[in-house]
Amino acid sequence: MRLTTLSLAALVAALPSLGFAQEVDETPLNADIGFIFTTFMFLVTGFLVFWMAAGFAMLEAGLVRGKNVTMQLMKNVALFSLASIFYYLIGYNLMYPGDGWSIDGILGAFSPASLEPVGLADTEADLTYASVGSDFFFQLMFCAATASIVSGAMAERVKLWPFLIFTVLLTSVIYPIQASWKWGGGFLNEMGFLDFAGSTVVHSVGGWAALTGAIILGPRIGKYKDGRTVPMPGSNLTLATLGTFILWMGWFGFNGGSQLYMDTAGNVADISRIFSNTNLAAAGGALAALILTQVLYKKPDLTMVLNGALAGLVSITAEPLTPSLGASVLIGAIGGVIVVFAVPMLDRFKIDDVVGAIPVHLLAGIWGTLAVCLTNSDASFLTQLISIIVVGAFVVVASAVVWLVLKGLMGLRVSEEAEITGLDMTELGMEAYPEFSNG
Amino acid sequence: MPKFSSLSLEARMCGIAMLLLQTRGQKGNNVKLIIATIKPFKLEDVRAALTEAGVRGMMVSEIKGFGAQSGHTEIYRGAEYTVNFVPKIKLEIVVAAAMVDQVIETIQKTANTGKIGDGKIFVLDVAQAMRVRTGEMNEDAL
Repeated sequence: MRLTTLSLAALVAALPSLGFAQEVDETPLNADIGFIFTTFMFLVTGFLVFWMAAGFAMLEAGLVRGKNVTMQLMKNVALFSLASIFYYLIGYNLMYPGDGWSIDGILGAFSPASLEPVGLADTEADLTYASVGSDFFFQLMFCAATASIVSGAMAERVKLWPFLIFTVLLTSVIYPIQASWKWGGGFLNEMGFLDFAGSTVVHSVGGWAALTGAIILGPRIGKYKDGRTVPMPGSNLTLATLGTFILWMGWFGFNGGSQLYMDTAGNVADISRIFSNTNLAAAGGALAALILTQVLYKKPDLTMVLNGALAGLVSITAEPLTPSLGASVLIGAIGGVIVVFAVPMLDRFKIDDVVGAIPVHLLAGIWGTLAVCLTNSDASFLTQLISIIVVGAFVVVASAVVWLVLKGLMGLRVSEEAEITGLDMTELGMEAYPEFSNG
Repeated sequence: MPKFSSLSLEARMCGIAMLLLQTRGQKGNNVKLIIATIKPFKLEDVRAALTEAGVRGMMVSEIKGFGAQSGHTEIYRGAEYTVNFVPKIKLEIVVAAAMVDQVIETIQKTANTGKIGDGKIFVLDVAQAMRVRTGEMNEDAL
């Protein structure tokens, strides 16, 4: 019986080679297989990260008031499109100059991105990594995510066009320059700075730009009155929750893809490890916020739980590979705790961050970057700290210059009347929920 | 007292004429408006009890207001705020004067939780009532 099965199997295996003996064997070379899998991995994880744009849009649409929803959606779709185009025109090669640094390790190359020829024709393609197309696609999504972070913090009062001009400069210059320092192989990378998927390079950069913008822009009218914080509840917590889950899903691509290789069993196992750790960090952040708001406020606050999940994700982003599952829960949970204390703290400083972008992306990003030292013995606390400060100082100064110039040239805020009436009608002339409006 | 329908036609006409005269002679009539505010979660109990008691219609509105319960504080994203107006349900019920005591007693019993904020009941005179379909007046219109 066993003999029969074996010989049958041998026959079946031999059949194709018998039938097509005359044709060329099209099985990829072993050397190609790694290239194929890694490229495929970048495409899949890249569109997961793309979907985070939807997550940010829904989260922000849900947390702004009904009169500003259309404007918030407009900003999200416009900023993603601008990020795509300007990362292509300037950002990509500024961030990944290869050997073409303008100033070695500090300033990358100035040229638009370009892809391999169709079918890799007539090229001696380097097959040790992935296609340029997949790498460009994947990296572009990170740049767009950085810009999405800013829109939430400045919602409900910033004018559309100055915001979009800032987005152009953030995605073409500010983000790529600092990202080249680490991921492009620049001086922070040489120092031994570790940031796996971008707690600092992506999230705290978005957070620093958001913080600088929110301070220069000032709070929404009526937000801080007589030394008290006046809550301005979001229009749709269903959308905010959907947005959070979409971001949570996108994060598997964000962190998983940052493994950068899927050419060996070890790398594939690492990617699965990263998926599991990323998920548990989000769960830890959400539960920490749930329990903490129950204890502090007697009633759990959904918006804080959503922020807590995101803070957990940001916290694990600098090192999603080396922690154990349990350590991931704890790293995420501390992110959740940071959010619950940081949101009212920002209010005390009268920094009006509509969706909690600064606690989630900046503060949890700093925590995550430092937390690398807990589980990765290659990390140096001092190097991590210096890198956080260097990146922070660069982004704050660069953003402040851009915001202040824009403020002087065209003004950043809509008029008082427009802000009170709502940006949807005054700036766009259309509403997200016309059936529920007063006019 | 004999049933109205068992009377002769003359007697019936005579009775209606007397009733009309009586009504004309009075300043108001025998129709009352009961306005009651209750806790929203009690609406279904109150509706059921009033239907049981013979009330054939009511008007219901969702309102906000404050009374002895006043406002209370809530927390949103760590910032405490005062809710000055509490959501309530307002019932407007128009009934014959003879039913008023029974109706307000029913509302008082069913809407009562014993806690502050159970609501208030007001009874007002109605100058006139008319059924739109038939033009019937006052008690007949109910």
